[in-house]
Amino acid sequence: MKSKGTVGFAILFIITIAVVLECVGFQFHAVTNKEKPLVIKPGADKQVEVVVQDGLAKLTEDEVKAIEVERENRKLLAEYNNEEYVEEVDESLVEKDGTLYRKIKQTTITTKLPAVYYAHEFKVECALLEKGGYSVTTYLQDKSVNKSVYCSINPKIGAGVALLNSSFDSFSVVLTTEKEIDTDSITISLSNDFSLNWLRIAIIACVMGAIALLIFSKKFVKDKPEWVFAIFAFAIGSLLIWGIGTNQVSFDEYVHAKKAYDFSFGTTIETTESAMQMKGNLLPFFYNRAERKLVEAYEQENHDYSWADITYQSRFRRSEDRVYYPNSAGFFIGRKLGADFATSVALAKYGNLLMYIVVVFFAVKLANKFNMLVALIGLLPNNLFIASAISYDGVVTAFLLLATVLITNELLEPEKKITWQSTLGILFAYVIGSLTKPVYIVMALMLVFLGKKKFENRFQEVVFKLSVCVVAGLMLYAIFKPLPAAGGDYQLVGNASFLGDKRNVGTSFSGQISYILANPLTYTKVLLGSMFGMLWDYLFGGDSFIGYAYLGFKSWIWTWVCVVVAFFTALFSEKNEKRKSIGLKYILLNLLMIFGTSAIVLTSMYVSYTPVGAETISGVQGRYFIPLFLPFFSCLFQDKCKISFSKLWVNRIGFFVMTGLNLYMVTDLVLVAMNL
Amino acid sequence: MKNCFNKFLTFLNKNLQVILPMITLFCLAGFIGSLVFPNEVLDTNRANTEESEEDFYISFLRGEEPVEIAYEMTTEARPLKGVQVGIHKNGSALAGANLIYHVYVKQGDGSYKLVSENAYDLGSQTYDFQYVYLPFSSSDLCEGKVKITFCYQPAAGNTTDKAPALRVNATLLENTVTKYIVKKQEQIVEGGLLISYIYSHDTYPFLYDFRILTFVFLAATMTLSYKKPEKKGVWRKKGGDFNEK
Repeated sequence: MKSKGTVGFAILFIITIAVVLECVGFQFHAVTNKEKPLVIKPGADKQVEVVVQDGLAKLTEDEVKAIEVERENRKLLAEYNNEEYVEEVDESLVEKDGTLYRKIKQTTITTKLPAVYYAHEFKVECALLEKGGYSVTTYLQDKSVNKSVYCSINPKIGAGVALLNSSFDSFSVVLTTEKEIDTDSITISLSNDFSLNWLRIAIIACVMGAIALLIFSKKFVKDKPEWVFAIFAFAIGSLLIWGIGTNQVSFDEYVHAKKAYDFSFGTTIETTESAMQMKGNLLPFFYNRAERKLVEAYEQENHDYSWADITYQSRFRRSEDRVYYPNSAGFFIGRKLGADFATSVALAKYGNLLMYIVVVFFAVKLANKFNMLVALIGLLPNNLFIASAISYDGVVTAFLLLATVLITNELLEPEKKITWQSTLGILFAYVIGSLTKPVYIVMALMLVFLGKKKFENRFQEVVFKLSVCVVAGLMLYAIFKPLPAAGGDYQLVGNASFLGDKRNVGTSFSGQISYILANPLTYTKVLLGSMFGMLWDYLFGGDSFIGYAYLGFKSWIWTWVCVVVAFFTALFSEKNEKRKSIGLKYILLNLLMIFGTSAIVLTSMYVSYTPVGAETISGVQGRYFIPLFLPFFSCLFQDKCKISFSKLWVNRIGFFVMTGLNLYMVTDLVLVAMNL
Repeated sequence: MKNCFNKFLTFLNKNLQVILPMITLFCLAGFIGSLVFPNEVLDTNRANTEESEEDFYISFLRGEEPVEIAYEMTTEARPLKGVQVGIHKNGSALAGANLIYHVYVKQGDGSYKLVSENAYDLGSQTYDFQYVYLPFSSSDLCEGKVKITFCYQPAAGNTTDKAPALRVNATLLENTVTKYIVKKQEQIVEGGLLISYIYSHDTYPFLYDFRILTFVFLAATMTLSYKKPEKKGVWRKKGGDFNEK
């Protein structure tokens, strides 16, 4: 780009094209079919036929698991309180041939329309106390137009909107509810309004902007990959934050939201009803823009501090909780600005995203010869998604990446003395990155293997290495002996017999450790089997790695695309560039460290999340190994594999693949799934 | 601004051999200080707090007769700092009135020894019904089998205020007894006081940070060069040659 004027003109041009494409390509239905909204009240209209029947609905696996977990936790609580456990019977459930069903009511509504109608949105409103849903089938001249479309109804918003995009002259709706509903409370609305989809416009603009940047800003893409990373990460992160809204789709987002929200207050916490639902993972979910409007209106109505719940917390919080600062800052700013609930949640996510971008920006900048590899890891969809959510994992990933870059720089210069700036940078980054997941501090032990030439004398070398070991040891020690914190759960937390992840049935911290100690060979088999089994599955299609948490994962082919790009970037360099290897000693040590850290990560999940004595390790996710990517690829650095094309093209390919993948995933998993 | 920053950096670089060890020592002092001076926090153990429509109140006056309410319990293996009970003021202001509460600890011979005597100013209670924290003055002694008694002391000369009451539900907790005593006649209640037990424990708010930072800065200190700068025209070492450099 030559000047600010050119950049401004280009941005304006791109936005104009995006808006035109939206109007012509995606609002065509509203331009060509000009039906007015139609409202039908089945209770009042005698033309509408209503039939109510009893039925049974099979419980999903998740519902069955939730019942089992609830039962197990009640047993534990009774044991802790020295009380007798009495099982509560749910009257709405029926067991048939070992399968659990829920008793339901089915209300079938059938009607004929006065004329053929093209409907974009089909909305059913009714007053429910429990969750319900409906499936709608449309007919044109008594022939079914399409397969029945299912839509859930959340009692909090009292409505469900299905997108039909078809012409019909009659329809049939089957409403499924737990209890019989008053037909007078049901309203069915059909509409086909012109409404610009700003998220789609933003995605189209981002696609065109990314292509323009990669084609026209040659010097920028070649010499400033950290800035290109920052621009792309901010754009994609913003699309995710904006598109996902208040839907809680990240890993255990409600747990993180609770801590971040509470942390944004001093000693007195004011929890509004909406914040309370966010903390309990109970906020209504939206699946399209029409539902989103209803959900956000509901959340705002219940985000009133005048009747907020007041609780207190210690002014001194656990050190580990400081990883929530970026999210908490967003909640704090939102509150001070008087922002609505959805905006406050977005600001909390922006806090995380900006922190992630700043830290990874410096990681890319400091990684001189391998900066593109670091930028690619920073743009990995899993990382960008977690950085755009309410979660501490963005802090973990960003700081561990920075620490690994700094340590790799030291390994590449074995003759150069280690500086105090580098030492503080490495150790601070590792400590912050490992605050909530202390097992990663093991990675810092690579400092212990630095050669004697890196130090002034033997004494300083020994004290330096001992200090690093003590830092790592203290952080690991805190897993088994956490410092007592303020709060009523002191006795429970301090009691090892009750430790274990309560989201899974049969876990016991002490029980699992006893099992491992009693069966070391069996456990070694389980560990190695799980480790190599996971690797095999991720690489050869048994499981998907690239994904946006609960929104979904992409085919294992994409894992390979990322692996190939990373291999290419790590292995090859242009003719004029001189690259160094970290040397055989550090390659072997790196591989050993990767194996050791992986084993510790898996073992920690076996101890805390897996039922005692299980033959597989539960709860391990591929993202836990992302901090090990850079150490692994740094083993490939050398100066022998040369390519004939320039660094500009290496950077262009890398950015094109990662940005393209992210934009494709945003379109598929965010726009299509919840914002049409 | 840039000049000031550069000056600061120059100062930092010149004095690092002093600054970094000083920071390390400061962190070490913080580490030791955090261990020696812990922060005591209160734990609320919700023993019996489930409210229902069947709950009832025991008033501190039965007709004209004063009523004493007693609660017996066994503490955890640590001293009880206080209790939180639900007090209903029955619509009266109760200015100047007090709730007097005594704590007795059961001795080896079965007798009870008074260990704490306190008063709560009922006039200071904001709401008509409220759960209030009643701390014990000699809480270190309140351990084991204890009996807590509550009685009402009206304001001098005030005869119009209604007597307050304590809220009770039908839950019978193990190892606890709720009684009321009128005219020295004890009556066991078919239920229990709505009560939370307040204990305490020590926390070490900055211990985690200081103990890690001590070793982080110690490691950074070990990367500095402490060699004395070479000077022109001086003897470099004992018995050595004169350095011409």
